Amino acid sequence: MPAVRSRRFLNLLVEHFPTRLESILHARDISNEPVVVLRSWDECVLDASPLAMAQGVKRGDSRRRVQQLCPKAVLLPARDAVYQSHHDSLQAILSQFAKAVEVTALGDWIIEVSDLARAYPSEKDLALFLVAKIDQTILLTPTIGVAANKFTAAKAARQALEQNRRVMMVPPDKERHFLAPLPLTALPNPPAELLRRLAMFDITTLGEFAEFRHVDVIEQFGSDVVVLHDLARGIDLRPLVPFTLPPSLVKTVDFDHPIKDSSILLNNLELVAAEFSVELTARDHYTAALSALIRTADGVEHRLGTSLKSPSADVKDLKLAVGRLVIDLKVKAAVVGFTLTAFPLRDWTQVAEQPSLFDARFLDKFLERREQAKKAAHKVQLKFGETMLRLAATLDPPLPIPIEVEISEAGVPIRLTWNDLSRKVNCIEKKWRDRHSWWRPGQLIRRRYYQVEAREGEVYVVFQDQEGHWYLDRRRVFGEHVYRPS
Amino acid sequence: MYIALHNHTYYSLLEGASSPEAYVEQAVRFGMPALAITDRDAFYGVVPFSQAATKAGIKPILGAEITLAKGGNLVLLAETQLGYRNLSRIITMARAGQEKGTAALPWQQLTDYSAGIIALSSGRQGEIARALFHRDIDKATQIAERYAALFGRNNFFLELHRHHDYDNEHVTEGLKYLSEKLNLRLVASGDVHYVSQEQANLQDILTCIRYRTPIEKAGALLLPNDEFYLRSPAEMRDLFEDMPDAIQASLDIAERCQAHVPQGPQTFPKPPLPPGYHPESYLRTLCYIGLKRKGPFPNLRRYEELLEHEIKIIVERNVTNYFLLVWDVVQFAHEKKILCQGRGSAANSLVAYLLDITPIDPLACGLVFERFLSPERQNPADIDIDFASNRREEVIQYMYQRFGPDQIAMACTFNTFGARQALRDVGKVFGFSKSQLDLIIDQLDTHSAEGLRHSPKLREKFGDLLDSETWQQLIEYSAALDTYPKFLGIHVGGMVIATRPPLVESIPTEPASMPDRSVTQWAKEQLEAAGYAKIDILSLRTLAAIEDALDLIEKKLGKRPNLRRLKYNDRRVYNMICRGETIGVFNIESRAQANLIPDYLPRNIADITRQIALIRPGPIQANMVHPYLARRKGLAKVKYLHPLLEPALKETLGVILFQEQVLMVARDLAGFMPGEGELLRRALGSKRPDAEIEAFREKFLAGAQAKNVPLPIAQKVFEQLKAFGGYSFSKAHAAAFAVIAYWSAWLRCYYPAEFFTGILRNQPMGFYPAHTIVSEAKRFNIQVQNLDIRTSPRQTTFVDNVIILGLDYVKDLSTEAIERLEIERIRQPFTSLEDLIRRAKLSRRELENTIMAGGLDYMGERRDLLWESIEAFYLARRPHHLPFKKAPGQKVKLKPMTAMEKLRTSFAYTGVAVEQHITALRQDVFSANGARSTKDLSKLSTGSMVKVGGLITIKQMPRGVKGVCFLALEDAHSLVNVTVLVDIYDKYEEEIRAFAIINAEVRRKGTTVYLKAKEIKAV
Repeated sequence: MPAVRSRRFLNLLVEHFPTRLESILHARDISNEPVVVLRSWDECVLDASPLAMAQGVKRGDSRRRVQQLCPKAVLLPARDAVYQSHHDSLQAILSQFAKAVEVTALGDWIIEVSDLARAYPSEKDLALFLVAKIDQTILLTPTIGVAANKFTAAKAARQALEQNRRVMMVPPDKERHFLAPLPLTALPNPPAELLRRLAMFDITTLGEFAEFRHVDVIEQFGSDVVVLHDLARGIDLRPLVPFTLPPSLVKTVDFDHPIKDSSILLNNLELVAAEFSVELTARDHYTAALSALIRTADGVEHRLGTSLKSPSADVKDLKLAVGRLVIDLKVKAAVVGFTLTAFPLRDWTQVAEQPSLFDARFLDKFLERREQAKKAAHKVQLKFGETMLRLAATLDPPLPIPIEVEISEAGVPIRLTWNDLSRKVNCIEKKWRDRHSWWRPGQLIRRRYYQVEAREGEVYVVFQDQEGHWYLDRRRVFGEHVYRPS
Repeated sequence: MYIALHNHTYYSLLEGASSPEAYVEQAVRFGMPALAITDRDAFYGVVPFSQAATKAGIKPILGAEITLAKGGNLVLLAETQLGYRNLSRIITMARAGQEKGTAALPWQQLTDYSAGIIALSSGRQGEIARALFHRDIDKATQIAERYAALFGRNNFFLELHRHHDYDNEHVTEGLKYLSEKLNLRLVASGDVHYVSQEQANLQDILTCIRYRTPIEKAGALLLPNDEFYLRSPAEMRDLFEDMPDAIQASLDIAERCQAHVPQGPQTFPKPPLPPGYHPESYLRTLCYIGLKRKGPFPNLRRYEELLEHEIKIIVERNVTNYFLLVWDVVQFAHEKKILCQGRGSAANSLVAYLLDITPIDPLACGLVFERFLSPERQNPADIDIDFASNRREEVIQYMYQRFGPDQIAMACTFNTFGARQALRDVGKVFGFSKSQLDLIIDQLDTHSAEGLRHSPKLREKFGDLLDSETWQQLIEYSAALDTYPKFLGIHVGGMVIATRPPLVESIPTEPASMPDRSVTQWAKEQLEAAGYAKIDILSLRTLAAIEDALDLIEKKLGKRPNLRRLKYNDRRVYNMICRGETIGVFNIESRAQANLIPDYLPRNIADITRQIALIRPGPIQANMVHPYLARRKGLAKVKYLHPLLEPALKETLGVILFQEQVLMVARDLAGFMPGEGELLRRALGSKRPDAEIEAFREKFLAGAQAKNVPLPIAQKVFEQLKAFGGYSFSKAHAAAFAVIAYWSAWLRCYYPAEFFTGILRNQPMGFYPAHTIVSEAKRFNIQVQNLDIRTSPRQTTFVDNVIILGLDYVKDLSTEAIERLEIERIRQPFTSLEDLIRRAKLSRRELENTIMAGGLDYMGERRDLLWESIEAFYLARRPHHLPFKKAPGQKVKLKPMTAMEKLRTSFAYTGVAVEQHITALRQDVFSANGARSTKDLSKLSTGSMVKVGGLITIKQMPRGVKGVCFLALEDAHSLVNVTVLVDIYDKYEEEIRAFAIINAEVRRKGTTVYLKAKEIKAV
């Protein structure tokens, strides 16, 4: 009977990927500088340099907290596209070595190298080759852990980082030995109850935990803990989960003759939107955003984008969205063609829609719902691991557009102008004042809002800020006379 | 002109950001002749508001915004006194049966009590505005018609607001339409939440605290803008330019509202009187009976004169029934054998003594009745009585049953934020993490708002960070919230009783967190300001411990010692105190007291009275401790700043120790009347404004001059009085406490085992944790038995010369579980874990804690039992009749606990260490560092240096001793006092933790050894 060859996994880790990338892009040394990269959509910490982390900054902290903990931190806005492209380029390198690449986080991959090592004198040579290759590509030195399973490989990569080594190899059948001295907290999301009870038995390391028989663990701590016990024993049967982006829907239309009439452009865009709707529905997917590349006769390409407040595959929603694209289009030259792209989301994201959960109309239920959501999230993390649950990125409302407003003697708008189009105000339907964000240093927002009806019957919400500038507020839901102030 | 009729003060508890006084000030600035407050479902602020308004010469209008059960709010204003009473009832009914802090008034109850009330439709939260917001004009019409029918067309107004919030104008148009259609008047109002626009941020913070949410996530919970402030009449006129009648309506309503806060003293229930008696004659008779019973008195005539004097004042002040009421309560306690004793200023009263309310003879002790009640001072009578803590509830329930929920309630307290809590709350609102806030608060060396703003320690720790905008906001808003009320609490024991009208028609009441209790919506200060008397039914654990000790003695000897018959002159008791054996002795067990005893050496009850009064911030701050001790020991001559002071200060060797002496000094040196002297004492004690104290100073100096006292002497005396201030005991109070101190010392001296058992039963109490009491008992060769579920009783007990630790010492073991354990083990001993779980129905956590506490050591190794407990739970849950066959398997090998681990876990799960002293856990470290035991100290000479290792059980820093810290360092052999001077304390503050090695100089006072720390190292 031929010997069963053990599988081998390689974890390639570029710790502090965004921060280190920023240091390269800004050509500055971050080793002695607290640098914090903030997510673009909620200004929470995406990543921080070791020095910033040493001062207590953690991933997910708010900007305010970072300023409290580390007032001298250099705050950089995340450049998602840049990170993603570099991440993708590194992933592309890995893809040359393995057809399936699992992405654990930004700058953190796992590949299977069971067959690959044969092409190199040793696994270590392969690992060092990879390190050198990545180093050359984007000057980011990774650390690599190689072991018989994903968990051990991941721990080996982190161990290598801690010991200031490039590569840490865990020989076959030595996984348990390698993991034994690690603390129980090295397990992914160990339940607090498990830790509490193990402490009562004076069990503090993975090695001591691994000593228990499987059956005893099930009896004592329940079947949920079996996976963790296996991991402590160096057994990780979880397969590699290759990452694939949900495919985008893209369609390009070229007109036979340049068109000047925006209604024709709109009709064409709506036709494509309808096709997308059919396609999305068939896949059970939704789209969260549409982008359009409009080409004009003068050779200019205009990029436009719009997001759907709730991800949708409904043809009506998609048509409304392309309508918004056309409204925002500021071109005088004739249009010769366009490319429309929809960014689909998997079906489950629809369930994670947050706005309805915390709708301010249900204030009495607000706290209760928030607690329920927290508990549910915690349970999901316990059951499936932390990486299985990620914060859904609620799409920011569209930014207000600066406009010109002519006002009456009483100070109320009588004419609105933007996109070179002027709208006379028929009447002021509502007016109100808003004030918030005073707690953010230098960011007090104080606005005077007006809901106006223009001559053509359209309704607009405009506001004047504390400096006297006027804006068109774009949060208003089209087609409905319902508006909830923020 | 315009009158603001809908205003929320900070007494709306987190729904308003300004005090009633701030509203009044602003109204005065605006020239408003009247002003209303309408706090949410409450009259919390009506007393301070009325006082401030009356003082400022504007008319207070009393009202509340009521939450209706079916949703929506309604603003109700008391038009007449009947309206006030109805509104007070309405608030009580709205609160009844609701969770703390919430209210919901059923419509039916509103209809029963609508007379004398003017109602406004309320703002955004009003039923009508809500219907209009939802474009339901028909519903709005129906609601308005219903209200108009209930209150009458002249008493119901549609309330208009213009806060510039979303859809405001739509609601306004709807209200105008309703006004025309239903012929109802509109009134302009503000739904004000803060006095000035600058306080809008504070309101947002309060909202976030209320909803426990960080401000970044508060969203629509916050008010939409900063327009909810008190507008001036001119501003309102401009704002409602199109509706001048709505402004005029506010004036018309204000004109009509005439209700005022009812003033006390309230009508007390009439006691059942024997035929032919009225309250005064009955009180007099009871007192004369007491005089005969407690006599003979050598100078009976003086007693009779004083008695008549007191009765005269009692009758004048209309509190005869109050005394009879207190007498009734005390009688009940005596009948039920509940140990109780009056304390505080009531002990100045001969009437209270003769009625057995207090144990102190005021004439024998030289006490002044006016300190308690005087014609000059219109303060209400206030009698404090301590009851054994474990039986106080019986007394409270007796009172509730006797008077009924409409007539009696406990006084509330307004728990203010305080600078530290405010910092924590505001920090959370701004998104600071818990650990950050812990760090900041840890560094905080102040409790005041000013201290917070200028804390040198914060500056030292956080440096420039403090200047950042975020931190400035944190500190400023925290300081601003310092004195704001946050939530309603319950006074420790203050009960208010009123019959005609019943209490709930003068002061609304609401359910307390504790079952079967209700609280008034006025706190102690407000009751006092309005002249309402209360009885303080206080709880004293020492009395419970004494009672428990007496029970045990009675059980053992068949005879119960009568403590009230003790003569207070037992030499053995005083010798014990002088040896410093005072752990557990009421009020003289603290480290500061223990430090005093070798110098003081008390020999009688008067000495103990003075000893108790001596270690108070007043005498310490006025530098009176050391002169007194020197004079007492004969090392310094007794001298008086002026001969006129001798009568007042002779007893205390020329220094001021008691509050009463302030009155006497003022009387003898400056000719103050007793009542005036009391006012002076209060002014000095409660840090009144300088101007007020200055007025007293002038009067004092003038009075002294009239008595030919030289000005410098008079000034010096006044400065001494000022330094003495209010942090002191009255002699009456100290004397009452001295009696309890003597009782506890006597028990400790003659029945130590029972005494320590009593203390262990009533933990937490006193200065020392349970493990120190256990160690102290063991030092007296009293055996202590660890927990064992086979034998341990519910509470610690003393049987066959052994103290047996009670099951209530097991952490988180519920009373019900203990009860089941006791019952089931009588039925049959527990044979296994499974048997125990099945019959005693212990939860998993309870079983684990019992195992770790050592209660099941007889069944096997603790870790093995823990392991087996899981299977035992499965087995215990299976149906009884099903057999269980365990699959053969290898037994898990767990590390057995070492003796030290057992000691540690027992301590962790019970708070006591029975087998060994807890310092055994660090003995190796002590030895390795060359630390010695306290046993060796007696062999060392004064001035020699020694390193001692032990457990710091007490850290005490009495106010006024300028940073000196007293520690108690304990090991298996004894407990030694350690004095830490300021410089050493500052240097080693971080090291003063549980286990420590202290390098110190040996000092002696008589036979007592103590240490003066030079270096402290935590281990």
